[in-house]
Amino acid sequence: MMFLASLGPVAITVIVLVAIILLLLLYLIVTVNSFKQMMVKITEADSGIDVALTKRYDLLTKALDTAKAYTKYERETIYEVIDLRKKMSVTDKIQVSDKLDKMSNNVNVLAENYPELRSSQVFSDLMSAIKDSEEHLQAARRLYNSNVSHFNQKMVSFPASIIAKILNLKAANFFVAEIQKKSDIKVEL
Amino acid sequence: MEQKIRELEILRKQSNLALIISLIPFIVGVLAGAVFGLIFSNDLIFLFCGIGGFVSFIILAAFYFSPKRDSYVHFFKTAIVKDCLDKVFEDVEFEPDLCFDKELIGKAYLVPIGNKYNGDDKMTASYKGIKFSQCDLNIQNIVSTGDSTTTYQYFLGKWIILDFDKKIDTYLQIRENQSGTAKAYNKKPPKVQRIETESIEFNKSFSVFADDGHNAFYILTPRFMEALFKLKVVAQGQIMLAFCQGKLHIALHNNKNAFEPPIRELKSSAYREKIMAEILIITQIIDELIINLK
Repeated sequence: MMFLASLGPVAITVIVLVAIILLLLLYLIVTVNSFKQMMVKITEADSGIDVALTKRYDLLTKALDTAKAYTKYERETIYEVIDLRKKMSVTDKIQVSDKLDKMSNNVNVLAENYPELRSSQVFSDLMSAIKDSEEHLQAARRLYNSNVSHFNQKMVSFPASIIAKILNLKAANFFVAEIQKKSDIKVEL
Repeated sequence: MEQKIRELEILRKQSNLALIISLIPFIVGVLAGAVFGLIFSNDLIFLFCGIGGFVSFIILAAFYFSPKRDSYVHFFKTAIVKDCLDKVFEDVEFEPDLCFDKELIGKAYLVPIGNKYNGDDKMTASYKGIKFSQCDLNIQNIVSTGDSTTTYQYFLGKWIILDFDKKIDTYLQIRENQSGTAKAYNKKPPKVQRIETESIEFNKSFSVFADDGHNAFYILTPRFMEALFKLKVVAQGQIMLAFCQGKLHIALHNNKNAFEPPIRELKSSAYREKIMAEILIITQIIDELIINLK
């Protein structure tokens, strides 16, 4: 305190300005790092959705292959060729998810129409695994949306919004699956 | 059953009588000390008589009253409580004097273990095909400084352990938010993150900690969150859940030790209703979190 009192007003002003600049710099570093960490979390959650989609697709394909032994359906009528390529956009993933929903509905219809299929242990285990994979996909989607929500909220909150504009950050897209209309899907088998 | 109640009533009266008999030397000692102290105008007589009476009380309480009380409590639990449990659950194994290991509870990272750990009424049973274990626990931390002793109540209530349909290999904790004395002390393992769900209402009522966000959302489906809200209403205490090492721990901090016998006369149905109310808490928890979600 004695040291501060011995300084002139100019010196005190300079010290205060330097302190403010340092604090602003610190805030800038912290906020930029925070945005970067959130983007990494979004990327991680995004790849979690990829894993869940792939697993669901593989299980549905196996279920359809198993069904061949019990039914007379033509596999190609309800099998969807889905290109699960890497680096799909969120929109692409939403479309893939919707196609998988259709495939899943078709598998359920097969099970309803063919009691022998339904009573097969292998098929029954696959259906449990498919249900579990659907829950994992939901979890991956919700985690992704949660991370996106935090990121987007921070982007629009002052004063972080100023830094977001400087960094030219864009709001991330949510993963919103279309609500599948539950209707009697007639499958030509 | 009527025979058992008659036997129980005899034990209850014996226990209460033993308490009165244990107290008599203390009362006599204090009165005699007061009388003789006044007659001989000597405070030391009062002091020695009082201490002598107190020591007699302690000895009688330890060797006469305590075994009588233990017999009463033990018979109440093995005859009456066990009978009620058998009516609701299958394959009941009830050990009134045992509780879960400290290490097992410590690994759930729900509450600190403290330096005073005890419990009773350990039970293993099945309910609608779900196998579970439960016991009552009392966990405290007693801190003595030079002048005073403070007791911190970390947890007092029911602890249930069971298998859950969904298996996760990471840790997840869900804790109902409480304040004041209704709140159990918090604990969580290192390196967990706070998880916020999409439900603002849920986030206000519960705190979620997990070391894997995906598994947290995998467990916390909308139906599961709704089930927790229903339990919050019926539980009459703070609910805490931990998924760890393949098991679901459910801790209900309600400041009660369930299944304790009455001191007064056993009325025909009142004590049974009390036991059934305690059992209902267990069935409601299993119904809401496991059965109804299948």
